[in-house]
Amino acid sequence: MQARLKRRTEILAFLAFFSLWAVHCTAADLPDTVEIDGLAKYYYAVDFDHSMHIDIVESCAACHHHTAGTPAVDEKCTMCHDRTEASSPVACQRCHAPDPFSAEQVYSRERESRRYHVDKPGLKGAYHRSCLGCHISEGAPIGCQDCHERNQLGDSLFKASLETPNAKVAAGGGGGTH
Amino acid sequence: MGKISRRKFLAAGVAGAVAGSIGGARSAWAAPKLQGYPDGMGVLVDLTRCIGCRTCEAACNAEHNLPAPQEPFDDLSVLEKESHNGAKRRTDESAYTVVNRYEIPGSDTPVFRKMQCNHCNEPSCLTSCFVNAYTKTGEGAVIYDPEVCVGCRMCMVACPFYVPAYSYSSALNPLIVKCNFCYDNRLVHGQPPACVEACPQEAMVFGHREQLLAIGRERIRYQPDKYVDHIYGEKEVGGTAWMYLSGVPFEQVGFDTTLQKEPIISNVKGFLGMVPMVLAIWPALFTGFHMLAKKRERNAAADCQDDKKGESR
Ligand code: SF4
Ligand code: SF4
Ligand code: SF4
Repeated sequence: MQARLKRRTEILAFLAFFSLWAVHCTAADLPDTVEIDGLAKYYYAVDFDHSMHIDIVESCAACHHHTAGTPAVDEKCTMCHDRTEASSPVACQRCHAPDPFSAEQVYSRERESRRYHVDKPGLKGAYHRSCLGCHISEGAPIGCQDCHERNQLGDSLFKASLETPNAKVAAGGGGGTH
Repeated sequence: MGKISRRKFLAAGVAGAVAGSIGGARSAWAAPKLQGYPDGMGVLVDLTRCIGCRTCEAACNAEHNLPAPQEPFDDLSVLEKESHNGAKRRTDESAYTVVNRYEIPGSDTPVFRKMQCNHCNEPSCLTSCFVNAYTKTGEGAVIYDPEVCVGCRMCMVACPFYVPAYSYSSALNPLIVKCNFCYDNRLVHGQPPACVEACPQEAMVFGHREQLLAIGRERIRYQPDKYVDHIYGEKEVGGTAWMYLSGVPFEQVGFDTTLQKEPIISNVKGFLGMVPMVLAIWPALFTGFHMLAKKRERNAAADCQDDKKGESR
């Protein structure tokens, strides 16, 4: 009983927090930069320039689909959600799991196999497909390290210390004989 | 997590104690209807999402402590590498997986394709191996035991996807190398393969094969203009655990689209039916090879021991 009460209080506090936060975010109190550190093992955190991106996109919905005060726009979503209010979570990771292929995630997807959203990307996939999709179509930088500066462990993962004969050839301009 | 994972990955696939049965040649050949592992784990690779970054190659290399590659993994020029006969890069002893780039006629967007072992439901590497070095596990992985292998390379010939590679660098201990679905270090612990986890684009989805098929069909149904209406590996050679979606015809990105729908074991069986001698002779022959190899190994080990003793003295 005690435990249940405690749990309920926790949930209430949680809800209260997020409703406040949602209001905040629609009230023009937007972060100028967002630190994204999901790949911290191999890359330094990205200081995402939120305000610059706000300036160049048409609406928040370009990234925050059906959140941040914008209702769903994707045809796939509006089939069911055409009259649904914008949902409250704003941060990507509130819906997109950082570990989409852990046993827990795999089984929870399968337990609810009749749920429509079984093919929801994880956090890393959601970011990259959303960011890179635009970066490609808009001619923005698309190299991995254009956004993510690699750390030492990352360098060793990619064996960056190796000689790059190909790069040299390219730099020398000549090219091979065959 | 450890607990649910292993048991549950297995739960569905118990149907298949099939794998190990080649040793008793008679029963294996006599049982043409292998059940496969319809509920094993698998991976759905969506070529429309792959950007050719080679992170998967780097992750696989690190996970399995493979030898350093010739060029670093962030050198993307290797994607265009072709051998003299125009063939694309293949898996080899230092790479369980490679990504290749394909130019598509009439399109300025190249398509990248990651390849590795497809973990066939009814693997012809396994059926071709006379010393039973291969096992199809309940989780769907096709794994290989170097202790048993005699280095005859039948599996290399038998694999319809040219996956197993020969390790030329270890002359004493002939070794076949190939992707093992990260079986012992990840799969049995309920973790996804290293390459899947590392992919920034989530070009690969890991899950039970049946669910992957459902996801694949749904992607095609929702965006029929984006995808070719085919899941490569759903039916090919009896079905594979790793399957592919593509936005361009599969033959344009290096897939063999002429492969039969039936497992390759069916033909092998017919062939062996016509040549019963093979059955009688080959196991004996390979047992011979095997014993020779093992003897050589023992001798080598003994030498080693002697050396060590010498040193410690
Ligand atoms: S990591 Fe993913 S996107 Fe990059 S090459 Fe491999 S499959 Fe393609
Ligand atoms: S792809 Fe080749 S090596 Fe892998 S399981 Fe199938 S036959 Fe064996
Ligand atoms: S499943 Fe494991 S062994 Fe196979 S390619 Fe991926 S990382 Fe390498």
